[in-house]
Amino acid sequence: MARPLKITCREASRLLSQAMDRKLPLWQRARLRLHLALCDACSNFSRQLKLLRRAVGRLIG
Amino acid sequence: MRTVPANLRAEIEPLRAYLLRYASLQLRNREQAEDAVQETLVAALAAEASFAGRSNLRTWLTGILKHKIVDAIRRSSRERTLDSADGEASIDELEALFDQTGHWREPPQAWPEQALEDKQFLRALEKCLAGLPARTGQAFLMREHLGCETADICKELGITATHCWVLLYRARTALRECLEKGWLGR
Repeated sequence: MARPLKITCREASRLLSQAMDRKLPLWQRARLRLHLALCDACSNFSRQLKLLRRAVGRLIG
Repeated sequence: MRTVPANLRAEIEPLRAYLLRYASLQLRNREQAEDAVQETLVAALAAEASFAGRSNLRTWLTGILKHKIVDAIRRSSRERTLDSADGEASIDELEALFDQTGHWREPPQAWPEQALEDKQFLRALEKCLAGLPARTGQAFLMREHLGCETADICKELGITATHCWVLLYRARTALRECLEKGWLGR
């Protein structure tokens, strides 16, 4: 595969959002995991997305 | 365990405002929201017996309301009462979140653990949700609250799958940004 293993925050954040809605292909998951291991900002973003989901459930219902 | 309240109507009435607020967030149309709530209350009163033994009236009503909202979204997607989502699916504003090297311009922060218990957080979230563009907010709540799959969201909103991903991504980035400003005051 020609795509590099390393991705930017721009790409990672987009994949993290998609991961909330569908199972990403293995390759994408691997790239994401590698990025998250090195990036606090995207790790925070990832936690925020999950929190948003729980918060919506808390707000409504 | 709780039994059917002696006067369900009296217990339901105070929840009307809450249901309306939520339906408005989701439908972005006051009239449709009022209709959905009205249908919910009528259905609830008719099905009073099925409430027996349930512990939370609000949860039960919200469950009924969800179905009414889905119906309303279906109807309005046929009538196309909301503007096209094309403008909202623009990627430009999302690009602005990052610099030329693809790094966050303002990196997301760690949020306090107890956010979910924080009433101010939930209030800020409600405000931020209301501030989203109509289609964006609708797509987000269809996904996060109604639990729709993206394929169904695309279909109901009459948009392409790509637009759908963009709307959801946009909603999430806008909400977290709005919350960092409105709730954490950053």
